[in-house]
Amino acid sequence: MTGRLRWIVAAGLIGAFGSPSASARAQMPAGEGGASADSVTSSAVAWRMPPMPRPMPMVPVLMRLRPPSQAYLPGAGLDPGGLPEAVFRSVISLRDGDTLSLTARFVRRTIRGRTFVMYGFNGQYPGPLIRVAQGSRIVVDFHNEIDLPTTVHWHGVRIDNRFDGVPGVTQEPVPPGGAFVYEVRFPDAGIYWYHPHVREDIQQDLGLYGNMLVDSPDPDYYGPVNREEVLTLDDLLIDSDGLFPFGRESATHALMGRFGNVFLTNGEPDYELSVRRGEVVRFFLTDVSNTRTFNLSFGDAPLKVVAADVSKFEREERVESIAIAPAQRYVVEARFEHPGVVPITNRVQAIDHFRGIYYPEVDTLGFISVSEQPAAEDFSVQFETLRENADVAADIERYRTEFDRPVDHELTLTVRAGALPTAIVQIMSLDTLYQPPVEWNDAMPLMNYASSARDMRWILRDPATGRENMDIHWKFRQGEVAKIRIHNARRAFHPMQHPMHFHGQRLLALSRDGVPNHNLAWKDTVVIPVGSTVDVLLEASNPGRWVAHCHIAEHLEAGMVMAFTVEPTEGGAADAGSGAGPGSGRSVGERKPGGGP
Amino acid sequence: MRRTNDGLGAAGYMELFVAPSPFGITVSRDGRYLYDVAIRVETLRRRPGRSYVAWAATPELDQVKKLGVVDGSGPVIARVDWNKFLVLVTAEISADGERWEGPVLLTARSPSGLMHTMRGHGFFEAHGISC
Repeated sequence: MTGRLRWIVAAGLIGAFGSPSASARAQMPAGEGGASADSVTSSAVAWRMPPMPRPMPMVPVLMRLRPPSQAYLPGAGLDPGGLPEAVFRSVISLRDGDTLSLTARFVRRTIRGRTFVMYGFNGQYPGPLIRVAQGSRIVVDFHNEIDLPTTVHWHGVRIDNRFDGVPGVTQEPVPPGGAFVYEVRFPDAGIYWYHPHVREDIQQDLGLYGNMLVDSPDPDYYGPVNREEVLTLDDLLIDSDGLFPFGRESATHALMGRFGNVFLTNGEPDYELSVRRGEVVRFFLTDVSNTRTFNLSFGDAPLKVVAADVSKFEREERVESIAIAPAQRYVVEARFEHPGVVPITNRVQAIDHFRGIYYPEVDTLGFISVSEQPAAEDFSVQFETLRENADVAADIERYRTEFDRPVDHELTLTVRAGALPTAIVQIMSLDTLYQPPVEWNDAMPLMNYASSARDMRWILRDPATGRENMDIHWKFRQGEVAKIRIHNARRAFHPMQHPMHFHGQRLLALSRDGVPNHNLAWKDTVVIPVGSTVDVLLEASNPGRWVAHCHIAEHLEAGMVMAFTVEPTEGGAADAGSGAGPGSGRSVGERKPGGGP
Repeated sequence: MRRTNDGLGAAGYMELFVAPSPFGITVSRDGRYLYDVAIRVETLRRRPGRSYVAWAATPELDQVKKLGVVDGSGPVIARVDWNKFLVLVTAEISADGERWEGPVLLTARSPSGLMHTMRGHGFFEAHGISC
């Protein structure tokens, strides 16, 4: 669109709705910080203007937009003082056959002196860190004590299908007051996480997530380090009135997902860690946010990446920073050589579409205090050595001849604006000349918050059949591999990167835009930047009916999900729930003692 | 790439490849995208005593990086990590300079260079919207 045409279209919008009034300007939220008084949730929740990450042109027509659903906050009307204060997570080490009682409940959280009603597993933030040995199996006796139906999904774990926690596919949602018994087995070492699979935009955002750390029997699985830390990376949207409301009937922020304005590391806005000079620290990182992709670094500390979602990399690799998308995990090691305070920062180049510029955005998530005292053991030599993981390479080698096989399936990622307000559609059409590979922040907060999962559809399209989202149903045989080409359409109405997650299986990201990936790791979530085509090799090892979806919570709510089935081999280890619909596991309200369904 | 008035008869193109990364997104520590830029010049009128050099520069021309010498043996491939950048092929007396001095024959810009400000469009100022 030429400059003159842009002017005409934009002038028409302004002319139709007039200039921003003084009262409208007065309604602009102060942004983060505001009142310091505790927030008592009112039973009457109303929409208000969202916080602005930076001064933006206030286009009048946008200021009148509201999401087309009722504003909602959990526990509206509850006095936070009557709820238990959430406590920092505990580490629960479980042995094969153990049972864990897990409850989703309301909690009171205090963040920077302000009190909020939120959710927590077992009253903790994050949820309990479950530590188990590879190959073990545990029972999780889950109870739902929140106000919404829910389930628990064991992300990345190649679990028995009937316990995968997907409503309408493997179970019915657990209603408030209900219960469900999961059996979780852990075939792979690494770091995983658990979270709801019902209205993740609300439940996950408000604290329902936790990690599972699965230990390999090999004591040399990773290199030696001085300490290990398990970190969740998150954000929360807060303004002067408290938590920013959600949509009751449908998710808001459907365009880009809900970006928060307060960063939380392990649930804390100001994460702190103390280490000794020279220590090597292994960080198990999980991005549990609704939509934010982080670019994380630890001051100038040298870093190397060791493992991804489901396995180590073929080779450890030096990196400057860690780009991690929602639902992904990375295991990284850092060496803190010099005494002092090291900031943990998220550094991105955000875009101001109105001004046509990039601007740096640096957020500090916490600090690492490095003391003068030297590390008890010096692992600097081992840190400098980039290990070659022959076990991973051997595991992958048997599939190497499949890397160049013809593509078995394709997916195109796109979006349909649907019934979005005309103002949004028109303003977004002004700026389609360039879309960055990644949206690092909320570049259009007004339009974003007013976009609803009811009004727009994010789409997975199979170009071979024309089918979209849950009308797609691929079938694989257990044990086969499939090459899947995923293309993120640049010419979509509002393209955005998508972290694509496949349940129950593992995959290799073979290439991006034709450039082969020469250092592979097994993953379950692969990010597809705007305009890019990523080829993955899916190993269909785990029988059952599964889903694959974008892990931006609001995009999932807006329909960006498909199904696939892995049919068991004849005489193979078939899951009792394979191909079955909801209810194939333990049903709601029925709690049977251990054993099978 | 577009040829300039000095680049009559020249033709070439620029491809951007995402630099490899274990994360699937390749950015520097401060978040700038990392690209491997491949420049192929297909036709170039030979000028005696001149070397043809490919450069990258920020749009403000405050930073310049020599990408390589174009000698017809294959593409020039180099890494660029600027948010917006121009790519130029120039004819130089010496290929050793830190900045071009000769005529610019071919130009291209990064796709991000298509972004431009709405500042200066009258309606923003007329309605008191600071941009």
